[in-house]
Amino acid sequence: MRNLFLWLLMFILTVPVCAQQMDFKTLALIPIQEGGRVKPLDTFARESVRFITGHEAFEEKGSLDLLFDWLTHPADWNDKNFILIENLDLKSLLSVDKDQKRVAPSFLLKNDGFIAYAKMNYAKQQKKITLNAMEKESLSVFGRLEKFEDIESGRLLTIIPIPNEKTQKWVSLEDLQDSYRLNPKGMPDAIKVVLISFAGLLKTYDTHDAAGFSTESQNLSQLLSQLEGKDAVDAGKIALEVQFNAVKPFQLAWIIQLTAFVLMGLSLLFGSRLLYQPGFGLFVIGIFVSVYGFTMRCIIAGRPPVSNMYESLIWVTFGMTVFALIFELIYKNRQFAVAGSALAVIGFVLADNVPTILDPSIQPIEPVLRSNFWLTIHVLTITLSYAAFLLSLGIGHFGLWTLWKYPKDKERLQKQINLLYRVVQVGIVLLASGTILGGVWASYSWGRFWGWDPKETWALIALLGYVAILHGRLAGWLKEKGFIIGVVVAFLGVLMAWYGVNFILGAGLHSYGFSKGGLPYVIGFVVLELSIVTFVGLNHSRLSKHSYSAR
Amino acid sequence: MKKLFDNKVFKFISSIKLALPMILLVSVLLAAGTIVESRFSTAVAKRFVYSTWWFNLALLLLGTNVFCSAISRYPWKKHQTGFVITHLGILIILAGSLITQQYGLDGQIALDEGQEGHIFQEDKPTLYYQIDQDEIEQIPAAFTFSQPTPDKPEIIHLPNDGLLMINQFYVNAEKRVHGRGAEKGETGFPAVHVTLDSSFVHENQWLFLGNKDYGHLDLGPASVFFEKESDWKKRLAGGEKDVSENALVILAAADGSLKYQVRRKGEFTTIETLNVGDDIATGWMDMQFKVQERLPDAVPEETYEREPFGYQKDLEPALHYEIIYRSEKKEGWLGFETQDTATVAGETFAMAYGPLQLHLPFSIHLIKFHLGLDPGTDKPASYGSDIYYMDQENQGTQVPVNISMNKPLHYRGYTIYQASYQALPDGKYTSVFAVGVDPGMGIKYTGAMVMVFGIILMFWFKNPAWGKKEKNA
Repeated sequence: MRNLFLWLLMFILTVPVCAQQMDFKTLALIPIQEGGRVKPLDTFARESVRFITGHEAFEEKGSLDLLFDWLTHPADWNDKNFILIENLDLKSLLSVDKDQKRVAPSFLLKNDGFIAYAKMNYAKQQKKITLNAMEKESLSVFGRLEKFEDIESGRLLTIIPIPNEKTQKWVSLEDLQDSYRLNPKGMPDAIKVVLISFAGLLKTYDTHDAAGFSTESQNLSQLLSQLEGKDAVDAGKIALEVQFNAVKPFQLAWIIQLTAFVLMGLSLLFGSRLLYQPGFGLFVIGIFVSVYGFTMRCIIAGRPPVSNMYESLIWVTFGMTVFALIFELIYKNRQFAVAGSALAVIGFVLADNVPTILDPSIQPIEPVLRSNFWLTIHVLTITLSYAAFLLSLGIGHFGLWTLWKYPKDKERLQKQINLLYRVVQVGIVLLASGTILGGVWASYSWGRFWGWDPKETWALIALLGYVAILHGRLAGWLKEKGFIIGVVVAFLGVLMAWYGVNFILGAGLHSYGFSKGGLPYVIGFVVLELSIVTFVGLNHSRLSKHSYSAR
Repeated sequence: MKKLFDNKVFKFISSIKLALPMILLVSVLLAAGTIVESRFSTAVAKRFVYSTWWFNLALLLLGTNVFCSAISRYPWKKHQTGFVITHLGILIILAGSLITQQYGLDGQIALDEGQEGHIFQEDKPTLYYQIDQDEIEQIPAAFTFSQPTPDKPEIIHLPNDGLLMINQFYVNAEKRVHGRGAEKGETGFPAVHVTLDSSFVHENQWLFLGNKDYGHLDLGPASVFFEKESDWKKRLAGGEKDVSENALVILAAADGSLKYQVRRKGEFTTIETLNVGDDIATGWMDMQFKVQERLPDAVPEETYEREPFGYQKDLEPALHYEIIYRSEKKEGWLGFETQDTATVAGETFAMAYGPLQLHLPFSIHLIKFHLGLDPGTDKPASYGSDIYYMDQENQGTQVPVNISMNKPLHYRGYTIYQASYQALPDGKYTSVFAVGVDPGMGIKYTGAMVMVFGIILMFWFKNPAWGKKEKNA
């Protein structure tokens, strides 16, 4: 028989230490100045961990936990594979297995060739020479390595709220260390206690002393908030941001929209009204959750969400659901809400899951975009037109379905086309005005109404695409099939203006939105869409007595 | 009028059957333009797509089609209101654009802090020339439609039966510097022709000892110098601060031989002798270097070669000129934004090739440039310039004003915008302003409003579900 007492003793000695979770709630709220704004430590940890590893958590450690592990045991992490590397060519250059997703800092630091290669690419980039995907990735990997080193050394931990008079830069833990080394007696007591408290924090973290960790967290937070310059920090906003990080409204939104879609889709399939009402209710709730998300994001960032691809994706998806709701209410046609919820799931899931391509962090925007009424109006109008066209894509798929299912039912097809026509019309008004507002802004801001910038040129091409379809319908060249297929295909123009210019062409004045990646997904989407329309088109020609040509 | 409407050609021009192919054609041309732009640069796309005759012809055809289709449906019916207004709007926008293109100005002026200026530059390559103290003459030298060649030169007649010929022109050219043995009366330098090769770098350059412009080569993480051995030793003795972590130094020894020394991550190798034609490993990954040729007394000779378009680079044109004057001849190259003087038959010819220079009717004085950064970063958050402008008609009145991003100055039909800036080494700034005159702006705005109003009206008239107006459709 086992000795129960001994077992219990062992239990007390080991388990509580492991089982008692460290509490990061207080630390999450500590303000840190990074990337041009003051944000909670929670956001800093999430962004850094996401940037370095590709996910907000690594090996089951949350981001703040990981941050403290890096600070406390930097040596343990030197040989761990946690630095994200994505490009296959770069992996083969470094002799990394192509299935290996991450590499260790020591592996990179030991490789002189890699360091020289990255530095050379940096020099190239400074000279404005275009880099290929592998060269860009070498810079990203190098950046991840540097970020890890800068966190570990305390250089990025700018948590001492004493702004430099000239640069407004707060003091980092590394700065403290340096100034202390130069002048050990000159350090004010208020700062000395911060250092002591931070050391205590790391010590309790090291010994898994959860209670001590909580106490030290409180203490540090208290000490930091007493330092001068704290007036610059809006504690309410910091708390709001931590709440926003925890709630993840856009993740919540897609989960709700997915449920809504399943319910409404089933109701459409079985012709039952019973499932539809709760589904529609959830759809509306989903919209409100995104409204909450946007409001929070606008308050935190202090500006409308117009600055990068992530923001435009969530904004367009949100706008699309609002259009779907309005159309649903006007036309009492269930396909709007169904298409709206389906596309919302796609949009929000994309935004939520590819952080290396669509960066969700909130960053200060470029000078030209600041405090500019016309610009905000211009971008919001253009993106709302994308939202309308996105909805038209969804309704277009209902049209394709009608073509496939009821190829000879002209009345049904005409009804479908009327709905589609309305949505496209909304898109055209918004895209035409948005493009012109862009000209107004450009003219107002740098004196040129039209400068053949690829973004504006592609907005025009997308517009011309839809205009061509309207004229084709008027000329009688596009019948029911042609019009429906045309609307689906014309969305590719929007996709090019929206995604392609920034990610494929990567040229022009709208460079603040440039990024890389995601091309295989987009090509996959384009191929899928083209296959669907070809399939439906051919099938329709075969089935319908009178063959409507889509010439 | 009725007759015109029945005319077959007019019917075709005004038909929707022309509209559709034209819309598609213009879309394809625009798309091609953006691809050219991303592959090369805005300048290349403008030059080879957007400002070509065929592109403008396509736009003109589309415009004509819009115009004819709108008037051909006269007298307009009520349900056509939206259609007519939309198309009218498009025409007004096009008319406004045409006026801007014809009478508008779009240039730049760059001023250092404390500097005053009234000359701005428009991006239209122009050749300026002056014979002795005569008036400065100018000719446009962009050659958009046809480029001069040795067989078909551009000829400008000078006084006394003289000729100025442009007999070679490259839209995009690169300056090449070769070593040429110095002739009598020229100051020469010892020179070496060095090549550096590795799997990722191929460099080929002449280095001239003691020459400010062509004395060294910068490779980013490493640099290459050519120096006298004694100077080099002095420089090292004085501290290594100005030598980069990775450097290759080719040394001219006192006995006339060549030597070299490599610095890798701050560590120097020993000085070794160097023979022309030897392949030598630098120790920087797999990079090798070689001295291909050595000249004891050489001058850098600049020529221009046709260069493929670079990514996101402005075009840098170059032209080759020949002056024939009083049966004497002189020829040479002129790169963009360079100048040259030539003495032919006792007369001095001054030439300059660069952007078109225009005068503002007032002058601007940059007092101070302000750069605001995002707190704690070196990322610019905002920038602007304190200036005053002076009217030449009203000499002496200095009107102070602040120009910043999204806050231009409007004065006497000109608009001055804050475009960009450059930091100078001494901590001061150069502020770059865009200068614009756009007489078509009001017309374009009117057209835009008319067009959008028209599109919105179309909602009303073609709606199957809303309102009673549908019956008219």
